[in-house]
Amino acid sequence: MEQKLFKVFVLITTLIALKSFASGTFYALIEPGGTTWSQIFTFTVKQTVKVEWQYDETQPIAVDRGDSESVVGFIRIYSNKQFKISANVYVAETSIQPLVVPKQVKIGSETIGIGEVLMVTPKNLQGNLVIVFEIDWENLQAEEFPVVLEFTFYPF
Amino acid sequence: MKKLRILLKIHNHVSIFGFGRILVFLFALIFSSLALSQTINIEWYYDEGTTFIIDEIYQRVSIGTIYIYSNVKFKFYVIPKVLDVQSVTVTGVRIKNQFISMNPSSPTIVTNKWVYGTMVIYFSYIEPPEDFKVEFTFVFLPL
Repeated sequence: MEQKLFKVFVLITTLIALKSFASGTFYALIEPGGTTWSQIFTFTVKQTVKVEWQYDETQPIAVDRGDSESVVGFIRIYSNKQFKISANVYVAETSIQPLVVPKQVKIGSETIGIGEVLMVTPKNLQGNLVIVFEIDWENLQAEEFPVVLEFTFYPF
Repeated sequence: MKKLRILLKIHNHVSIFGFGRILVFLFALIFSSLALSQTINIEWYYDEGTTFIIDEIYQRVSIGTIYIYSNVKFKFYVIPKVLDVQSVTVTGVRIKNQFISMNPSSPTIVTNKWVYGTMVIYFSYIEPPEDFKVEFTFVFLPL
């Protein structure tokens, strides 16, 4: 008798547990003209970014002495949605840091100031990648110096 | 003593009569609800409030488990309505491996009285859209 009661108890508790797992329930009579039930879902597409460059990043890139600009090469940055981009340029060597100050990065017709955020509305950014410096040519001794270019992408 | 017995008898008679009436009423209630009415039950095992992320490769999204059952055979269809954007269309609603009819004139017939499984929504778009909402209206009809 007690075992039977226990079995019933277990059955009932599992049924209650199963029911409580449901996020929601709907119950209605089926009307001859039809019974409706509706739910609204929100959908999203995960945002991705793709970068293509047509230059050899291991080769030295010339800096124009006249306007302190350095044309790196063709770059294309595109996303499946609108996005925001910020650019940072670091001069690696501490001895050169006071002499070479990065000012801005240009991609095609767009200009991104160092540490500034650019909104990319047509989902893509492409063109010649140009890094603009402010260089103290008088005191610059080094022929070559490494520079780190860093892009950060944000959702719109 | 005799007086008491009569009283008891009357009391018994009245009480049995009353109980019987309640029983008949209960039977009628149970019978009517079982035999006459057709009910639809839906249980869903997902949070309908979350934002569902579309699989970009297949342009589909798995919503979660849904369990639709009735006490009778039934038929149903679903009408999806994209609310925020124009560039997206819902091409299919699948529960387990059965696509649910989106045509009111030819609803999906459920002869085993239940449908259970993962609900998957299929989309069609050229450009990936911004976040959007879709209202799914299920219509259940007696078979």
